[in-house]
Amino acid sequence: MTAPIAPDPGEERALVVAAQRGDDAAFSALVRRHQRRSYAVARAIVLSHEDAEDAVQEAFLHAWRALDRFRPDQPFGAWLHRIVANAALDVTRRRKIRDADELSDVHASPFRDPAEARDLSDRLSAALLHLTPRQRAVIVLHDVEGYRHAEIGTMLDMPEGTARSDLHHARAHLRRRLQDLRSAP
Amino acid sequence: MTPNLRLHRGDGGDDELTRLLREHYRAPSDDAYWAALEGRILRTVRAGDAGWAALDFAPWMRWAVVAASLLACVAGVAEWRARATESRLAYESVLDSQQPIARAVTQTGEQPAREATLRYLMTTY
Repeated sequence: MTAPIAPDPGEERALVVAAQRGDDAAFSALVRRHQRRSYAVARAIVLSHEDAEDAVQEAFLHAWRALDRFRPDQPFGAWLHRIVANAALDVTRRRKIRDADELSDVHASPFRDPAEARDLSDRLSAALLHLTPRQRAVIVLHDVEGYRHAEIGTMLDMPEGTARSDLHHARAHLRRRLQDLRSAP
Repeated sequence: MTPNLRLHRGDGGDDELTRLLREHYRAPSDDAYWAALEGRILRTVRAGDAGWAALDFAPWMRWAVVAASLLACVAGVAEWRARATESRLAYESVLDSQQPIARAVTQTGEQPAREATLRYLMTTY
């Protein structure tokens, strides 16, 4: 799980204000602070490591362009993660249009240990492919990244109740798919 | 080998499934990776920002293109109207000058040719 970021709000606000004035170093510092969490958010939505990287880069570009519209008294992370989620959903849509057959190929992430490509991992990968992108995002953001339903709802632009429902269905689906891998009592 | 997968359904969460998901979605831990990603992000932002700055001039360029197009249209319409007027005047002058001849010709069937010739000469001179 990605380490939670608990930046000093005053310091972060100062960085945001400086970045809004065009300070590259301040924006670099914001990138350094938020890129891991942003990657985690993007990775929860897209299917591959490469697509997550693309989404993060696009998201920071959008954030930079929209920085003058951001109110520094708001939490920068929450604002940024909405942009990241949107960029990731956009990447997912483009990927779907481009070639649905690529999905199984891009699923192998280069940074992962090849020894992990075992039966269980493959089964999980296959099961995850059967979730809708939203269900997949919700279960990963909740169970892996530790976001609350309301935060997920805000990030993915949907009601909190929908996030709960998606989480329930995603868990049930994965359980069903991995049922026969249960250990004997 | 198939590892054991024990599922717990206490609060709706699932410890084993969560563990698997965390393993599956494990982010790179190498600091060098994050330093490289940060560099790529900043290069993307700078490159995109340069493009964005260029777009700031686009409204001026767009207005210039629109103005030039309008001028070309106006010039084209003016040219077309000038030619049309010139052509119309040319036709009118020809038709006006030939009108008596046409009358004279249409009347030749009913009157003698000599009388028609005289009428023509009288109206022309």
